[in-house]
Amino acid sequence: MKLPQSTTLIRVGALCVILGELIALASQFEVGATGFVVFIFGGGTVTAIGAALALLGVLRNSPAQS
Amino acid sequence: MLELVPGPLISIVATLIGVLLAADFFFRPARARQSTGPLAAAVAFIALPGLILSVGSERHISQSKTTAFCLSCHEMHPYGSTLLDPESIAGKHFANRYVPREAACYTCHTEYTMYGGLNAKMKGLQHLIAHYGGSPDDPIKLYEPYSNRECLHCHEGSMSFDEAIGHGDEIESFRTNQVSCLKCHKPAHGVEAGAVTESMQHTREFELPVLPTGGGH
Repeated sequence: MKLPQSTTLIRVGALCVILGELIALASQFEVGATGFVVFIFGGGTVTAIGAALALLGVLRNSPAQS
Repeated sequence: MLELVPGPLISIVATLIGVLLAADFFFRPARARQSTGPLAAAVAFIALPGLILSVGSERHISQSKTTAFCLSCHEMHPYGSTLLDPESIAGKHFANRYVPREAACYTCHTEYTMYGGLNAKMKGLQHLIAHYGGSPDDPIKLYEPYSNRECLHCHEGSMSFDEAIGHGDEIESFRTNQVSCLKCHKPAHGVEAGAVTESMQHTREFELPVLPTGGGH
């Protein structure tokens, strides 16, 4: 399977990180089980996936790879 | 008032910086090729998200100790109502401020042992699974019998406890759970069968009324 271009990976990853961090922040203002679940599955998971994608893109795009 | 939840300022500031750094990579992905690119990426995609999620976890864990958190689930509304019933043990503790009102449930339903707080978190996760994925018992049952240890943690040695008839002779039975405190002091909540099912059929939020805080000096 061919991976997307590294710039695409970085962009998608960065977007997921931004979304995840904002979701994580917003969930903290909801006191209750819903806020906690949104934090874990919305904030935490989206941020982690985004960070992994972005780092993969950065590693493939780093000067050492050129 | 007991400060249970740290202020949101650190979360807001860390999120703002994290979003700005990630946005920089979104609009200029070519910066990854610069000599400082990997370091900036490590900050934007490892350090700051880690900090944001750590602070967020701390805030959520702190919030999970609050009465408002426990009563955010419909299953708990009948039990929350008993905090206002002076005939129940829960109501007596709430009305007389024997427990902090903002952490009423947590104060009595956490084991006073070395890993009591951790056990409470694990049980809380079980509650979440039951709330979102299953159907709770009606009335809700504790995972294990309520231990006198939680009562004695506060009451043992107090003047009113020591002077009460029967406490002095039976203290060892209380400590070893041979005789439950609830044998004489009941009901703990007094929730009847059917109340949980009924509470789950409506969508209104439960809110504890603001009780008078007492006169000043």
